[in-house]
Amino acid sequence: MILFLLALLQAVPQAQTHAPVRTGQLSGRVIAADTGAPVRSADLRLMGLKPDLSPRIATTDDEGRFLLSDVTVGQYTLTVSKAGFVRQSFGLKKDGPSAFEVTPGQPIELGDLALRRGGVITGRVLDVAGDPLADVTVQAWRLTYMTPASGRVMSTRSFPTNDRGEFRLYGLQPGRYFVSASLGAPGMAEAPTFYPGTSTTADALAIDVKAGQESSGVSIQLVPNPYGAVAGTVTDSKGGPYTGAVVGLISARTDGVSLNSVQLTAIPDSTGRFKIVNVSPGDYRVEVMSRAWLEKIGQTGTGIGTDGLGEVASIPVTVMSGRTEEVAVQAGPGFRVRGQVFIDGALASGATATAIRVAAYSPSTTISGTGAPAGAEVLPDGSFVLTGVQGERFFRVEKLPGNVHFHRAMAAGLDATERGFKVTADVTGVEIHLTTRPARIEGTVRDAAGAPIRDGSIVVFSTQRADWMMPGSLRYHTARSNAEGAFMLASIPAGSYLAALVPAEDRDRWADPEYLESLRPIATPFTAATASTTTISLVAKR
Amino acid sequence: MAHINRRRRSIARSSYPTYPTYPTYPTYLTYLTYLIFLLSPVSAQEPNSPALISGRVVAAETGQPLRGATVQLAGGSSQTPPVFTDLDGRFVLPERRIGRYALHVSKPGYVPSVFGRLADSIDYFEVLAGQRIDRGTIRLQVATVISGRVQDQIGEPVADASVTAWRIEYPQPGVRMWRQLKDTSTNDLGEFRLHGLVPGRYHVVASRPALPPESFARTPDSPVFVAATMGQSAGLPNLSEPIAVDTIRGGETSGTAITLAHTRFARVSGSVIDSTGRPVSDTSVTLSPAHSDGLPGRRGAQVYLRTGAFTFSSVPVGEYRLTTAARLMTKAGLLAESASLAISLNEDLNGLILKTETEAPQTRVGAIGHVFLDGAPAPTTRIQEMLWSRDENFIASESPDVLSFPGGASTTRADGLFGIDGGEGWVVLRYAGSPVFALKSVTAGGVDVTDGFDMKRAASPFEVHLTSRVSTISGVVKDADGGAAAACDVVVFADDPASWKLPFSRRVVLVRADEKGEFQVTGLPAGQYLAAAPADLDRAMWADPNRLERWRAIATAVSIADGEKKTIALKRK
Repeated sequence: MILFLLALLQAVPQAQTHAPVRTGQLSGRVIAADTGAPVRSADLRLMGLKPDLSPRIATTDDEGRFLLSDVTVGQYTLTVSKAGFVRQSFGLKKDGPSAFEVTPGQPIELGDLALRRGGVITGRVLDVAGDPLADVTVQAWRLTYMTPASGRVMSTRSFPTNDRGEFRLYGLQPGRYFVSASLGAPGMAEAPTFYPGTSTTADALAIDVKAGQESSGVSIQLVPNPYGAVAGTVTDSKGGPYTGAVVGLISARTDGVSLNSVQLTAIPDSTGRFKIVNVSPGDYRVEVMSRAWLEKIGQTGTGIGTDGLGEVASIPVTVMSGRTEEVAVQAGPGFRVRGQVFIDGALASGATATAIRVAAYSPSTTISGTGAPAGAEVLPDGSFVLTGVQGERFFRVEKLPGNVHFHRAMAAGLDATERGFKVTADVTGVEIHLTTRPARIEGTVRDAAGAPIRDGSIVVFSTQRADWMMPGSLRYHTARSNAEGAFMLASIPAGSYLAALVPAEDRDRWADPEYLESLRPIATPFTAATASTTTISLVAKR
Repeated sequence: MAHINRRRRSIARSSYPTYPTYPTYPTYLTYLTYLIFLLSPVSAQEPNSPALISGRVVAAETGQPLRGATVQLAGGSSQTPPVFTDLDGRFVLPERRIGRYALHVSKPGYVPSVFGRLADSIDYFEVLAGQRIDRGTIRLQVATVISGRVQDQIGEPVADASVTAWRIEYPQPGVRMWRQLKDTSTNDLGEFRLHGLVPGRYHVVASRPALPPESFARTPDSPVFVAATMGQSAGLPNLSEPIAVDTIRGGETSGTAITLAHTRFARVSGSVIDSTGRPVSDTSVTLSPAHSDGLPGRRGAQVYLRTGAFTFSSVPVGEYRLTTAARLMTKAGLLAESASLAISLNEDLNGLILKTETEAPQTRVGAIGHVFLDGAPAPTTRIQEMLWSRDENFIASESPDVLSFPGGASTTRADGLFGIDGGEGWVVLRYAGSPVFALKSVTAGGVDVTDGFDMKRAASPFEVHLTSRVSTISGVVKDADGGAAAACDVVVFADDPASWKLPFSRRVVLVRADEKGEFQVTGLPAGQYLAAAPADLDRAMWADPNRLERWRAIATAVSIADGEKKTIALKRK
């Protein structure tokens, strides 16, 4: 196409074309979180929350300062990166302050933006004969624990090996990582090999990465490792194809961490057949649940009214490299769990009772399948019926009247609060005990000079390691301090605890048992007793 | 500007860490719902019995088997993971999906088998179910490495900088183009290693890290510019000053230091109005560098208009051109309008007005001519049209699979009339029919334009003259040991270097010998020629005038007249 040139360069009569673009200014300084020293030559990228705000880039000067002028008004986040540090975004809602609001006129000073020093993992990828492998994709998987026993991995950037087989994974947030190496393009039927050289995710070892330090010598011997698959049929309790099912694979790694990078799920076809491909070798559970149930839950946000929506099943399977495991899964309606709710030892009744909702959770908190919670409203006579329950469960309440707190659950005469109860038949006589006189914690956090710390993150955890390994543990809590440095836990089981002030940046691993273990020496011990308030005071250590 | 295949930048391969939210039980339910959308019924169909592709990988120089080389299929829809060669360099690769594939063989320290190959020199083969395919011996050449460091002006390492290796290629006579052959990124120490390179002369270009990929998806007007400079120079990249690295065979060129200059960025904003003065929406404005030196750092950006206003932020200062197009609704129907504006960006330019105007209707976008065979109108003949920018800095497409020259073929009507489309810039017409005839000349308004013409300036009518007096040079190529040099490349080129630089010159020809080493070149214009069979000819570089000059030493001289047939014997050297 021939484009004819017409050059008009003149002032725009603004009313005629578009509204004036209003702009503001953003300034600030980038410093190292550990030393407070200014970080020069750091890259900044200002990203608008709305697509019509164009991104801006800038660099810090020798004093670590930056100035972004003529920024179109609107909301922004700022991403700062610098070699040796963890790339960090500021202005994200979950980090406290919401996005930066750029307003016309006066410059906005963001103050000091602190960058954490990144950790590095270096090593080599070798073939079976010990020769280097080039252009292998090496990926670090960050181990996160948002809640106890809910370890899962988050992928971070991947890097290719060079012609010496060397890799360097940098800018890593301190924490624990798995490292995998895989040949070929994504979608190739090859499972990653995990450090120290295993195709089985259960044998993968985590590497501890510390701020500003290099974990070197991570050598991975790449083994030919085709993915396995699971195929089979799902039938319902009448023996016909269960076409309304959703099939999922759940990793049975003992620490509950799933190292599969993709969701291992499938929907059976009209004959009830399904196939799940790209499965790393290892032990799994095949979990079957109802798609209608899932959709209903998705629409309402609760399990109310989902009784009788489909059938469930759960069977174990071992997946081998390059092989397709054939399974036949028979689903059933699950079992009924009947029980009663007590408040301070008395049977709940009337409006108080109907304000309560009881739930039975599965320890497999990461996935679909029978792990989905069954829930039920409590009737005016204090009784409840949970339906469609199968497998290991522990009991909780999802809804409570004011001033009433969960105390414990008993099933078949055993404590089913902090230990799973296996539901293999209909169950009666489950007792849910609530209390109006819980153990209560009040505390304050102060810095070394005695000033209250605002928005401080506090982790309160049992002195017993076993309590950290329990999904949904009641003996692990987090809190955030207010402007006066005060925090509060309304209800906690009686017992011995530790409390520590922790960096907010570590929030995705506070519940990691290794992390909690590392807090022991600096944590403050205390004892919580029923019907009393324990006061603790924490001092930040610099 | 269809003739510039500007390279599309591969968005940084990295996926940045994402941070999860707390999985409370209610969000856990949301998560389950999310799962539903990821699900789709799968086909449980079992694939065919696999084809088995085998071969042996050796070092080209020594013939020694290469153990642990990675072998996989390129092209098609293969999902087969790579296999490794055994101690004897042998491999067997099962493939279940039928298709057309090439073997991709790599081994650290060697040049990957399809490195820098152009489409016509990659050996594709058909794979059918259950077949056994022996691909014979695959020879890998020892590679070279360029390593170094990228730093900023205060000497601090620049992490995640893009580092690319470029070379100038000559895939056709008179066609000189830049091509990027390898890219990598710096690590947190600013270090890079460009490995697996064919030995040769490279230009290394570094640029600042691009915006994170998510910004591309989110904002249509993200600046895709990155600032880049090479060496110690400041300002924007300049082709006259890239770091040129002459790599030696099998060695490593280390210590290449690249300092990124501080580049100023500015904003460009304005609005688009049509010839009636109304704001134009639902179109896009393209900002492209004024000069097509095309190296990274000089890419364009596009803004989609909703309100008639556009903004480009963070544009490195320099010379640019803004272009846009509009469709104007009139009583007479839709009118195409366009605008183009050259800008010199030193500081923010706001309030620009791009006013679109109707395109001139009489612009010639094609030509009509006649084809004559031995002076008489020629029926049904194929004429190949090549468009060439004659731009010294033409940037080739990034993919080694694709090297297409814009243009097209047309077939004459029974009365010898033909039409050709397009035609902005330099056009070369070639005969593409049966070798029984050959091109004699092309004239425009009586002027000889056989070597090419400017479509906008050339006079009419066009005449293409073919001759049945076709010259033929044929022969056989032998190896040093006297055996047939199967599938050997043969170059036949004019003794006079003046014709080497003509785009798509008829006097510089590359053919491939058959399995018996036999070759044939037809239709050369009468004259003095040289014929050579260089070993390890690189099809991306073969038409380099310097190489042709070097091959004089190993070439056999041959002269040919119209209609003459000659036979020569060549040795692969």
